[in-house]
Amino acid sequence: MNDVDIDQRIRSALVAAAGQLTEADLPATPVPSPDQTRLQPPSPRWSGRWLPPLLAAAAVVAVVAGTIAVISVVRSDNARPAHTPTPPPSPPSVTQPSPSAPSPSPSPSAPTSAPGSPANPINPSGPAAFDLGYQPLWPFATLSDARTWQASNRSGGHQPWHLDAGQTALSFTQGFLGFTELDVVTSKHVDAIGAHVGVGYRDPNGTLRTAAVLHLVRFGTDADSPWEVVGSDDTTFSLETPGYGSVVTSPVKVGGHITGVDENIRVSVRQASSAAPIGGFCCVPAGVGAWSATASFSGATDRVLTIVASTGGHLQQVERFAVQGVTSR
Amino acid sequence: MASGRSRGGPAPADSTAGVERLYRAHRLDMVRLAMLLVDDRETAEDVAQDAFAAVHGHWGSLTSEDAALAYLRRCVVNGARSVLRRRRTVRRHPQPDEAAMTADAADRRVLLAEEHREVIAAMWRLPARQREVIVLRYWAELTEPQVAGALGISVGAVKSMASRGRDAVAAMLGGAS
Repeated sequence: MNDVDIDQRIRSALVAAAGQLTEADLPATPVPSPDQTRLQPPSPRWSGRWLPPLLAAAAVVAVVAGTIAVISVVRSDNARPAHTPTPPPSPPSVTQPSPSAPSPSPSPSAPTSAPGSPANPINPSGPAAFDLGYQPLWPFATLSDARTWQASNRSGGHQPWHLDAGQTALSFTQGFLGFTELDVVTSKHVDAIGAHVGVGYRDPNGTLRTAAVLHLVRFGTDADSPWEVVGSDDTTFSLETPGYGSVVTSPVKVGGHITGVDENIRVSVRQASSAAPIGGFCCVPAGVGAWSATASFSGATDRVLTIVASTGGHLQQVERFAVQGVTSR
Repeated sequence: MASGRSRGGPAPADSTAGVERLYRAHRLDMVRLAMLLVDDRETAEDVAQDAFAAVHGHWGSLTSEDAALAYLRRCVVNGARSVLRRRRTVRRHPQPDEAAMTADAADRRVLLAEEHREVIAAMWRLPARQREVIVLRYWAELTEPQVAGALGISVGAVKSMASRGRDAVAAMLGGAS
């Protein structure tokens, strides 16, 4: 099969597959409004179009019955060791390169109800009825941990940076991963799926450089549910193996793709309950294209582990990184 | 795909009017793009819908209709990625609607001609990033710089992934025949 043949076959197949969907198949949905963006993880059957009325209905039920508003019952949260890692003592400073960068002041995602409002109760020890849908990397290991913080925040404004996706992304980068040179939010996009926050640094010319784009989602269904880091988006540096959410044992083969650098790649394995990495590998000579390494680790006690690949050395120690959420059991 | 042939006129000042115009002109293409990336029509509709909603928030920084369309396309790709990431987790804990979703995709594939089915099946065995590049290059008919912009990667990476993806599909089809 020559190149022209395969090009034509791919093109024809894609056109045919896409052509199965016609204008007549689409429901008569109104044009999305600016406030229609969801801050919930996607569900294959739960359309964002229905979320606002469902939230309103749940609030009414909560007021009348005085019980917890259970919005999305998908599956029970797995029983995991309850642990909330200690975040940095204070949120790192945030540079504002653009109007979309996070502000230290309360963000639009701040609570809409008064602290302790009975219309929006929290039951930290209650049944887990929310499906995060992703691997919770940091800062909360479980929904219970997130709800505990939520209750404390409502009662006294404890660690409000959890409500800011940009601050959470920076805290993850600096406090958990230890990449203290990466101190700038370079981009921030909050959409229906969650938040995608670029973290990075300024080069000597003052140009913003993005080291990674982190993906965060709300850990809960409330307007003041805290942000949770669940992964990083693939950019010019990706970590694709092992697959997201896969079960790993030591040693684990790690790999991905990279373009544009010739510095070594370092791999570390972390868990939220440990301040230091529990394993890793150094170093993989980087080139253009695929990279791989075999990393060993020991002492995994958390269910969710974070594999981190980083590279740098030209301008600063870490210039790019990627993370992958995996499970230890 | 109409989006590859759009005009590059200035974006309307009013986001509501601008998004509505985009929606009328490109909704079907965006749902189709999402469907090729997530293989599920209902999820694709949600991904596209959310992408249009996201455009509202960035309308002020979009200087032309082409820029708005590029941003919209990027939102669809990012939304599809997030769906796939979540799905990889959910598949470890199957739910009833997951089965229905798979059946929906299977039903649609049956309607495709045999030669197309083989290609689409091979595409789904590619790494996600290569599949995105192939879809944007071959179906959306975007240029390599446009694909790079939509995926946030370099033009060199687009070339590399397109080449690897095409070779992989060819190898799979060659092995199947």
